[in-house]
Amino acid sequence: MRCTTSLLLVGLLASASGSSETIDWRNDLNAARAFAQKSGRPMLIVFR
Amino acid sequence: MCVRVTDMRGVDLNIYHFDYDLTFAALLMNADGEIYHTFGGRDGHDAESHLTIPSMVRVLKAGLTSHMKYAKNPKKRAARKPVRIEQIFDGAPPKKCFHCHNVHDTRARTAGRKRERQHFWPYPDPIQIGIALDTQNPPAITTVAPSSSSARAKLAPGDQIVAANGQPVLTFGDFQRALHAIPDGGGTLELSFIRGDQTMRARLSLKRRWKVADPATYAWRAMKWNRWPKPGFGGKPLTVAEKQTLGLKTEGLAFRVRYIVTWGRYSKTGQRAAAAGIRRGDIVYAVDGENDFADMSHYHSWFRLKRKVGDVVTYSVLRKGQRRQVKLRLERD
Repeated sequence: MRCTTSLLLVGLLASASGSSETIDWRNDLNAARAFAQKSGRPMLIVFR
Repeated sequence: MCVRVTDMRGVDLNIYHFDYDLTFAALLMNADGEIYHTFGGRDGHDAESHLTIPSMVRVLKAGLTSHMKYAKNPKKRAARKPVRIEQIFDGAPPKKCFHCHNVHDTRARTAGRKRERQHFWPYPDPIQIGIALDTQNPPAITTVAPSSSSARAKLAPGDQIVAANGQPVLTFGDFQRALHAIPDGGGTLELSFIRGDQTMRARLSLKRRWKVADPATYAWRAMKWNRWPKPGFGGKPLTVAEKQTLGLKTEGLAFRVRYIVTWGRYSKTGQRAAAAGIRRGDIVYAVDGENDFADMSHYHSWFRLKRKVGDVVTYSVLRKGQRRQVKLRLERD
């Protein structure tokens, strides 16, 4: 998987969220997991 | 919570596992490591063939429902020692980042020759059990190949697969995950599916080497590049007009040699090709008489899956208007 792959797909996710708001993407997976553990939230992880 | 990963360094491969060759994949999961759904998958022609917005919306909603159910009944998971790409990669680490596609081929390359086969066929396409799926949630069967394991289990077009070996299936990716878990040595696939208004079950027996794909199906995978044997050179396909001008058949693949591999860990493959007589600028119009390749990826996939180390291949080459045969013995460094 190449880092330069189509931004269209991330746009797809923004559309799928049903909101015009910008998604607050995190980049640090381990920190996000720790936060999810603490908050009890599910995680949507996109690899691209 | 949304996380975007473009560099595989630091990613625990024991937790975040998916088809790393894809250009896009999404996991809906929790912090315990429970993966609710996998969104991703493709066919041999189009990297986005299984990605649609309606499908993504349904997966996101289903993931939230699964998460609420999980919260009421969390599972205890045994802790596993993390495995990271930077620990198993056997070459000079990339300067900027590890790509996802580095994972499958690194695992295959570092597994040793006896074990590499089990890594060569990740996340099988459903075509390996004789069916094609659409992008609905849950995925519906569009075709069933005659005499396939799916045909023997009496699956039919229109059947919607909802579970595989006890795992819920909502997406094409979920189904591939279930297939991935079955060894290439053979196994059983228990399916639950909806036909009409009934939920039905089927049991498929998968024979030894059931994962072995044909070159066209495998062609899109980046991991093909590290498989042996390697031709040691490649190039650019000729257009129909170019083939006509050169007096070649317009059907099938012919390509102009643009590079001979003289760099990196596989430089010996290029040296052998050059020693055998391959030159930059040559037109290759057949290999062992074969030229029925859709594109260069298909050719490279065919070469690695249909030829083996020790074979001698014969290239049909056009050079300065002269047709000649070049024989190359395939070796492994």
